[in-house]
Amino acid sequence: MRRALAACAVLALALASAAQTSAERAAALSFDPSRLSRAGEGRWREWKPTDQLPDSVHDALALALTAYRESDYAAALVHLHAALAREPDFPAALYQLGVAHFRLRRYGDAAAVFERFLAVAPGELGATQALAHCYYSLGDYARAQAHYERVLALAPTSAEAWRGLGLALLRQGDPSGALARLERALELKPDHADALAWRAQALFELGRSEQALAALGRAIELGPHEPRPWFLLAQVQSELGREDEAERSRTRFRELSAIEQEVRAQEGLLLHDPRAVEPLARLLKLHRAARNPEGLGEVLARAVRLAPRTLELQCESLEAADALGRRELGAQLAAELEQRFATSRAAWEALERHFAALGDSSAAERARASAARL
Amino acid sequence: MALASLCLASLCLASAQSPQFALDPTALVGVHTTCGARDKRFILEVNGGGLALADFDGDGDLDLVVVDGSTLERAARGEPGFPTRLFLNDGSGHFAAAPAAWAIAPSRWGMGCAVGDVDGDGWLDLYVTHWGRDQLVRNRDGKGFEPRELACLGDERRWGTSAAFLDFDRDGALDLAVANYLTFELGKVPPSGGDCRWKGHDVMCGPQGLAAEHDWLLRNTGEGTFVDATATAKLTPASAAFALGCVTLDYDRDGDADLYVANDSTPNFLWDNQGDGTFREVGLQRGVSHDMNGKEQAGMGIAVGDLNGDGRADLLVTNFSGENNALYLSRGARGFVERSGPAGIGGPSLTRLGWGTGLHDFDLDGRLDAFALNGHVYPQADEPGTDTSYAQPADFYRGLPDGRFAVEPLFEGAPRVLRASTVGDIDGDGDLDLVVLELDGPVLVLRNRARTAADGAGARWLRVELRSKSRNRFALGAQVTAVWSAGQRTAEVRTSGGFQSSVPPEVHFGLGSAEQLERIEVRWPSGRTSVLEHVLGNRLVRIEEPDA
Repeated sequence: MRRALAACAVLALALASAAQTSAERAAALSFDPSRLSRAGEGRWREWKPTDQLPDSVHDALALALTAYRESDYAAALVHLHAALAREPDFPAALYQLGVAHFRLRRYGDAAAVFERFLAVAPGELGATQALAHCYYSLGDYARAQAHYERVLALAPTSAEAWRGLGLALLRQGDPSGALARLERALELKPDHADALAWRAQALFELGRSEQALAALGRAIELGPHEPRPWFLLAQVQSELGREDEAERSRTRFRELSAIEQEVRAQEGLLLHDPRAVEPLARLLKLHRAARNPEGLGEVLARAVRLAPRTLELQCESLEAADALGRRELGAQLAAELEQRFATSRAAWEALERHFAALGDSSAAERARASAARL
Repeated sequence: MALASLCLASLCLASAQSPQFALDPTALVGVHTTCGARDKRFILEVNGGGLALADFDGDGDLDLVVVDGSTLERAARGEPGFPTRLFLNDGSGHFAAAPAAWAIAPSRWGMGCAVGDVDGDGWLDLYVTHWGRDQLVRNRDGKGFEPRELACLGDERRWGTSAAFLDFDRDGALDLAVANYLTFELGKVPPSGGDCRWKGHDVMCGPQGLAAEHDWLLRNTGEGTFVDATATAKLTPASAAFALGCVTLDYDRDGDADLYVANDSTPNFLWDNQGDGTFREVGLQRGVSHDMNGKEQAGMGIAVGDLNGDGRADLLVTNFSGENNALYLSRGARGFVERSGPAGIGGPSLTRLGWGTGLHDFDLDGRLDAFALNGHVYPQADEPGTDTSYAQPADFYRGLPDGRFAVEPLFEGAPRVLRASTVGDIDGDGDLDLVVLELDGPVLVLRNRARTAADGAGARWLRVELRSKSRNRFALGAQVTAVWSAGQRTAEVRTSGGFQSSVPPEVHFGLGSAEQLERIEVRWPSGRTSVLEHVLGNRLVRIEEPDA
């Protein structure tokens, strides 16, 4: 009886803590970054990223980092606001706050925070590539261009900044300028699939369709699951009079585009509810269908961190581990599946597929028999 | 002296920065529409009503139709919504409620409208889309409307949005395309506050997750009545889409009427008329289904115009916030290419949610301009972190000599939640005015300042009306090419365009300082042609179709 009461007390505490966190998250999400305290004005002018963290913000920043790693950006905002309440304008916290807003796709708020970061630590211009990304995402291509150029003046080997600059120019109707910058990005990072695809776009706009075709071939080789290169490929092939090939590219584009649309929707759900199980399971299925190992690996890592997992998420995680050839993880997930969901036919069917994929026919047969009994 | 010069310079600057349009509060007084409740808990409540400008009473000026909505409470009680109303123009661009003979019985929940002469009697009739059965009202010789009952006007759950008259089978009688959005059933769609979230905020549900409806094609039997030809004309894509805008055009200049449909959250459709009574969907193939990134958008309104004078239709589509308005430039037989970024309108439209739109030469300088009415669907857009807002400024895209647009305010005043628009010269001064609908607010008349501005007196224009010998009396689908010293431009006679709206069946050209056109060439829907030479500007020209 006493043990039951104690358990209830623990549960009540956990619930109270969860409720408080939820309120804090809502408050953090409602906070207008332009209202951040400026009490630290001028204090961090000489700050360097290598400086030791003040003790007063150490724990909050560590918690923010943990939340960030778990893709819980709202929780990261809570901890970063706490850090900034203790040390107003502390540059590292400001910077992370901007990144968290950016990951939440709140580009206006992210830009406001990064602008503040630059006002506080003007020497860290090179670290604010994300500010240029914000302006690009807000459609302010001229300002994005200006900022990419400032970043490159300090960090001329940033392939990402060259790519961004190329895109900003392309959006403003300068395909020649864009091409030069995208080629610079590719000199620095030859296998940058996105830069390759945008280079193809610039070439296409310049009427150099054969070269665009070659660039797209490489982009698709590097990222066959991305719909955009297929979309452009169809246009280029059509321009070259290769209509049959163009139609095949359109078909592949339609398949990948439908998957990508749902991926975006599920990721949008996870942004605001990072522990939601259904979107994770759905994402695993979608990335597997698109044969996207990077996406599958990222979502699988998130799914594995979640516990307890639902039957659907456990099965999808197992399928994902098998698809990625991660045998050790697959074995662990299969054992958990057998242990926790032994009365589920779907679990045994997943196990049968798992063992069959491994070539373990006797285990697969045993799983099939178990499924049949249910 | 220095101070005087400075003041003069300031005045010049102020004049140059005045918006192209000015709100005229006296032109239409006290006309409001309703589309549900202001908290917008259901998708049915967010799109607003429709507008049309056309000369219904035959007195030579443009009259105004306002399509009104309803409330969920009225719908739940089985009561009709607010009626569609006609306002007659006194010739100066001031509108007053039409007499009772023009009254239209209220139906369930009005959305949009289309204007066309369905019976070939020379008088313009009206089609009104609804959530529920649509309405067709016949114009009785300019003396009033009378309802026409048709079997093919839908059921109580179907939600129609825009509509477009066209003669797809070239039999001389106007057929009708209807854009359908989705199936909405009271009590079956969850309200906001459930699982439907946008940028972390609880919002109304839809359209994703609701059942999209196929669009319709209604064939005119020649008797002024219609039969459903959707299936026989193969206007049935593999999956239905959430259609909001539709417009007719002959994009490939093969002489038959094609159809472009803007879909919400799904790729847009370009229905290529095969010339044998059927259509084929070629949106992706022709480059008008997605944005430049290959992403489907949430298409709302559509504008059509020959931007570069190549004789082919270019398209402007307004879209959701976070998506650019798409500008599809024609590349001849190869289709279109999306160029909103280089044109200067892609970036500025990313934070807007656009609806009514149009491509016309509003400032009469010989180049096409455009506009986009904006306003979000979610009142929650005013919450933190959305990068947009519920009420938004309306944008004027002024055409520049280099093919780009300068983005300017459309008119002065605070941001509003705007929806439908219609375009026409309501005061007969030669420039094109606008009527716009504010969601749950007034219908506003925006007068064009092109002819009244200090430097506008010299700007010249030409309006062209066509009269066909077929039952398609207003020659919808005819191509009119104006050639003058500074260039040439082709326009198609159509009444469809914008969002849930209809425009007058005529074409309008701005001529800059050119006093006359070298010639006007007309390609009639019948295939006949007319050529007029040395046509003086600043006038309305009516051209009759020649005998065979």
